[in-house]
Amino acid sequence: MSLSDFPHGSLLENLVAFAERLRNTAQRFNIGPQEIQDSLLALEAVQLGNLQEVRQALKLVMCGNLEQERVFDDLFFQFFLSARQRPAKPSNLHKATPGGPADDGEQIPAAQTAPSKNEEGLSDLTGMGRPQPPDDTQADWAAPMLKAMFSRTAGAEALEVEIPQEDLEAMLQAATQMVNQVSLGRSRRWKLAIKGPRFHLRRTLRKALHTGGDPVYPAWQHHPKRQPSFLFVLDGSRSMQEYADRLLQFAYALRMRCDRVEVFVFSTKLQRITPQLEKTKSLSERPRLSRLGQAWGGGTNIGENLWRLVRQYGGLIRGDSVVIVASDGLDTGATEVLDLALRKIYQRSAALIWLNPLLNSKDYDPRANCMKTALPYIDRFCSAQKPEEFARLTYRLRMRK
Amino acid sequence: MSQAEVNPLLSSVEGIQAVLREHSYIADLPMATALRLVIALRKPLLVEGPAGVGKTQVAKTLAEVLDTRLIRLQCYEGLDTAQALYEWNYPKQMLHIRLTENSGESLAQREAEIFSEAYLLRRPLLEAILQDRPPVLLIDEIDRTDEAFEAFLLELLAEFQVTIPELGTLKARHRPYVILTSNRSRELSDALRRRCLYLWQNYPSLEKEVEIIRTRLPGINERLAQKIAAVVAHLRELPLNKAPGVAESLDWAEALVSLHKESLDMSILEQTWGVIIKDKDDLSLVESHKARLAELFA
Repeated sequence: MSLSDFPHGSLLENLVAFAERLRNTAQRFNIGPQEIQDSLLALEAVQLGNLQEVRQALKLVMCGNLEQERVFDDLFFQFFLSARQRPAKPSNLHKATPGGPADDGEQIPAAQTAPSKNEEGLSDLTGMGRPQPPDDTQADWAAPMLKAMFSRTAGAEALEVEIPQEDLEAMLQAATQMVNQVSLGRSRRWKLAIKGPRFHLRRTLRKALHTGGDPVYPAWQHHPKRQPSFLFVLDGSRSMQEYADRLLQFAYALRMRCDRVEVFVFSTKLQRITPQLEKTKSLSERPRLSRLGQAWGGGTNIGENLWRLVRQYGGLIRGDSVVIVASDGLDTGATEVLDLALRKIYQRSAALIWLNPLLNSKDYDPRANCMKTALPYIDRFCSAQKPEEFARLTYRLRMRK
Repeated sequence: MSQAEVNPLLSSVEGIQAVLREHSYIADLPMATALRLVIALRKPLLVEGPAGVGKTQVAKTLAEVLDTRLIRLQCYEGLDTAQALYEWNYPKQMLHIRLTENSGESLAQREAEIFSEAYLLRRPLLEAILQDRPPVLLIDEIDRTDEAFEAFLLELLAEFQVTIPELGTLKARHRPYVILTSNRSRELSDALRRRCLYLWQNYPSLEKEVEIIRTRLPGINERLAQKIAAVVAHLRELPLNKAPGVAESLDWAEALVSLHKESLDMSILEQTWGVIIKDKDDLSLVESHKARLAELFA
């Protein structure tokens, strides 16, 4: 490799331009001058002539999470090698981990496996059991480059979803109210308090210095309340488009009012959008969601996407988690996977709330396959469209943990 | 001089792979590159991945390779600075106050005495920055702590210094090699991530797992090692609550070797389930897949 092969004249210019490209992706790489400097230092520590080492070194410095790590190779090859070496024919595109979880690694139970395999390879989404990057052999770096040519990052849809301004203030109040109603008992942590069951020794001793070593004015500690975390999973499929704006607005309000919120949308694919719903200082600077790809406006695949949530982000579902699924349940797929996914979510979470906008319809009967399967696992089954309805989501809701 | 400066093998990725192999750790290119950068840049490394893929082991092995001390901070909910950084020795301080009551010293003097290093109990983080040789600092399962502790770590990871109000700011004599691990039970803050190199470590491939088993248990029959790896790989495809990690594969291999088993069949598998499957629901699920497992033995 020589610099003449790259888009810009110097290594630094290339790195800066590459960083700029990464910052503008949906994964929002967090790269500033410090990371550029670290990248240069990292490149000094590896062999510049070895593409694998260069890519790995930049990946280690520039990626901050699994979502970024997942798309980094594509972006790297697009930027540095797009026009230079294109293999004649696609091969080894989805080379599976030998003996590891199959090419998709998603581990959809047997009944569902066959139809779930698709052009993108579910493995790419999971991180768990996905194909290893073909980096152990130096000659094999054409495969990911080829993959980059067909990558979803290259042709990400330009669709933008806006969060409505109307009633946003009321929705924020509703979110605050909803968060405050969750009661999870006490944490194991000790915290300084006016009254409590245990001495705060350091404070007590400091105060004692002023009274000749006698702890006349003790300081106390207590266990603070456990803070809940929320997982909001929104069905963004076509059938939900009528209600999605309001639900997304609630997700945004929840994120503004609580630090421990994760938001996902799904249609045929699942996508984590928490980073895109950043907190803003002013409500007029509401974030816009872009590059949702197959997670928005398509068909519905509830079971597989909830299963994907469990497999890929299962660690986020804990004893302090309130999981809110917003979906009309209109999915004709097999219910085994949905049953399995909901069982896992139920076992791990403190509460599972299902928001179904169709409950407002007079003749709606939740006995369709999907909802029938889901009902035994749901702690609260309701519909919410107005802020006051969202505020009551957790009202007197019994937490299982 | 530290091993990192002395050992020429540690100045290249291939060299690191070779050295780690000598210490029975099979590192792929991403891991070896990560360790190369940890040594060269002295930046902390954040390793995320499912449980049991060798995240903790890499820190232990690095300490062995560098011939330095491993200092481990095991994180848990409620962990605070008193357990992670330092604590004052209160009984000793109390005693000192009593003994010097009539010494005529001023309040300021007495306060300065009891808040000196002699009364300081060093916890792992402080211990790590006050070492004469750079140690390997393992901050294990950082995702188990709460946000407040994570925020506290920022100063340490960026500047390698800690501030003790009574003593001032203590700078690291030598920057430790820091490895943080996380099982992703919650998302870590961007601020913490920015201060670290990031590596996602997944379950090993079949070949790599066979290699790991054979490296750790040199006497094992190759065919047995392959079957163990194949069964474990198959189990990881099932929707288990707790998928077996590399640690379970090794435990199982060791168990089979100590039972003098040269090959695997269903009866042996059933006798030794407990080594790899550690959940009642998982056990029922695996039993319903016996037919597929039997095919693996054929």
